[in-house]
Amino acid sequence: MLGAALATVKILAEQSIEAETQSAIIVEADALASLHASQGPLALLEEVERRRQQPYRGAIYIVVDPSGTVIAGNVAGWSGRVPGDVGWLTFDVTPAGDRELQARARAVDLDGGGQLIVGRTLVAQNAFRKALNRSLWGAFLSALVIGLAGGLLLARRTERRLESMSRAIDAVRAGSLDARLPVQFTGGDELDRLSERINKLLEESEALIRAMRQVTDDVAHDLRTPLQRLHTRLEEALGHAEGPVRSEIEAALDDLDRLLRLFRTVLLITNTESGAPKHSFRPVDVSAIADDAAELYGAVFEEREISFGHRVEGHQTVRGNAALLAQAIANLLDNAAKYTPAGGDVTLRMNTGDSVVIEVSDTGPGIPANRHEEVLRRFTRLDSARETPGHGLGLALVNAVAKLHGGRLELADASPGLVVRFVLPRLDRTA
Amino acid sequence: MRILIIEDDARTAEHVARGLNEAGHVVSRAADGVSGLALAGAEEFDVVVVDRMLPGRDGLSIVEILRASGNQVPVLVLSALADVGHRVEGLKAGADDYLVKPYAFSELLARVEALGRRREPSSTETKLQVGDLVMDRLARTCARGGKTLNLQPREFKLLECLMQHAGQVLTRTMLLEKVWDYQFDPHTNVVDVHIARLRQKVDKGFERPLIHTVRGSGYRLSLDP
Repeated sequence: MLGAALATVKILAEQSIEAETQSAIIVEADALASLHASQGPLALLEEVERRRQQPYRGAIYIVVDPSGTVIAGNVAGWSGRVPGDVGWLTFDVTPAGDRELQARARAVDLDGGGQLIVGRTLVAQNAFRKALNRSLWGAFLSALVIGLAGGLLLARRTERRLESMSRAIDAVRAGSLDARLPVQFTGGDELDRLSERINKLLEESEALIRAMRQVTDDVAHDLRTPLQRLHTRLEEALGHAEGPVRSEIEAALDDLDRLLRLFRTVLLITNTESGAPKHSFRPVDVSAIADDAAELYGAVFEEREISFGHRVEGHQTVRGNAALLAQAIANLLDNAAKYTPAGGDVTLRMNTGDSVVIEVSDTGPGIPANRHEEVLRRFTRLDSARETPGHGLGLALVNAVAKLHGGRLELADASPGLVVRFVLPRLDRTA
Repeated sequence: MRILIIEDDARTAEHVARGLNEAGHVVSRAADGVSGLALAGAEEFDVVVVDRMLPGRDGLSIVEILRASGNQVPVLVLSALADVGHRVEGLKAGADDYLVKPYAFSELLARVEALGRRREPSSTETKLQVGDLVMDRLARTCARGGKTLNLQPREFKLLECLMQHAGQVLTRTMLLEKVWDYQFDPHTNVVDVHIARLRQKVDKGFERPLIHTVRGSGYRLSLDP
């Protein structure tokens, strides 16, 4: 496209310089012809001679008599008349001290039968054409270079903007609810407009999430004091009760303790999901945490006649909250101990590749693949398969802890049994 | 023990005070931070219990003021906040223990009693003794009736904890915290299993058991049943 534009410029420029040359020739020829008409042949010859004496500027003058003999002029070897209706003449001349040149000329018949031929060699025109070609090529090449560089720059800039957009989205997903996509100018280009729309959406979801959290916090806070009183009163009543009333109160206290534990876990999940514990993140030796959990639960497995194997590699550090990580890993072993029948196997493995993977597998009843998603959410309990008491919040909490640390929880079928993979980003791969 | 309770909910404070009285303690009550600080400055207490959410004030600021004035009285902070970071925050501010609401009174009582004994010399002594059970904390050896007990490191730590608080009830959550450094509610009887193992080594073959189960609370190591 650029080439076509420059070619058009070239053609138009050449046409215009050609027209300029022709009109100059016509003007000069007319002037000399009218001189001849008004002041006679002698004046014309003198004028032609005077102009011929001037420094050579590519002008051509020839005056011939009616017989065609040259009587004045600056072109060697010319003879004869030009037929009057021939229009523009093109011929080669060799001016003194120059090489052969093309010339353009026009013949004017004079009163008395003579003829005046006025022309221009195309030396200036050729020089102009060369200069034009040079500058057009120059323009073409520099436009090409600027265009390519500009294009690359623009592409790189767009790429960078897309990158910072994805970074912002990742930040929101990781729990920074107030993160927003960068906008260069309000109502700017398509990317800015898209970012503005996504930001609107993020604002709306932030407001919703904050409202939901506020409700949870309020409910939790409002329930704490009455639950606290209920517990204290039952404990007091227990001190004065006897017989069947006493065992009823004991049963009520057991139920209340379960409820309180459930309540604490829900609050802990809510708190973890809010991302608040991120403020206390520091490098944590997750291998030591896994070893401690294995030691704590080794005795439980032994007591339940479950064979327990554990293999933890080296000392792997992750960035996180030690208390939550310890609780998450202990929860996985707690679940395995709860659901694996006597004579079964439980294994704890920790591997490090692109991420740190803590894997607990058991030979319990497992969880059907179509319900894996479901058990990672709050308050799911697979009553049909797992009939030991519990509220099914264990995996939801571990899932929340994994997400808080930028990781994930994966469930797989060990046929029979369950494999749970607690995946955490390595410290050296964490931004 | 003399115990100061700084708690704005009158009913909770009353129940707690009554419970502590029944357990043989003398209780003073303050309903807000200002009078609480005044009381803590005027009298000697063995333990101060502070609710973290007091009207118009974070209970932690009371702990900070006490510590800044050189008062080293053991403080138990009660909190309605569930954030795992808050416990660390509380301990950093100078609190000695942290209990999240709602709690069982038995848990509060056990923690208050454990804190009250902290200032007794036994916590820094190198030799601990309960009856014929003797522990050398420097040499990391333990013997009962002259017979050396072969304890794993964690079993040693569990027994050490029980001996340091001899005569007091330690709840399962307290043991998980002090011995394993865990703050969580297991669904399995993990602490009981470890206690059972320890009993095999400490009490088996002896006429008089030292490790006792306290129903509804936890465990106690003592000569009396």
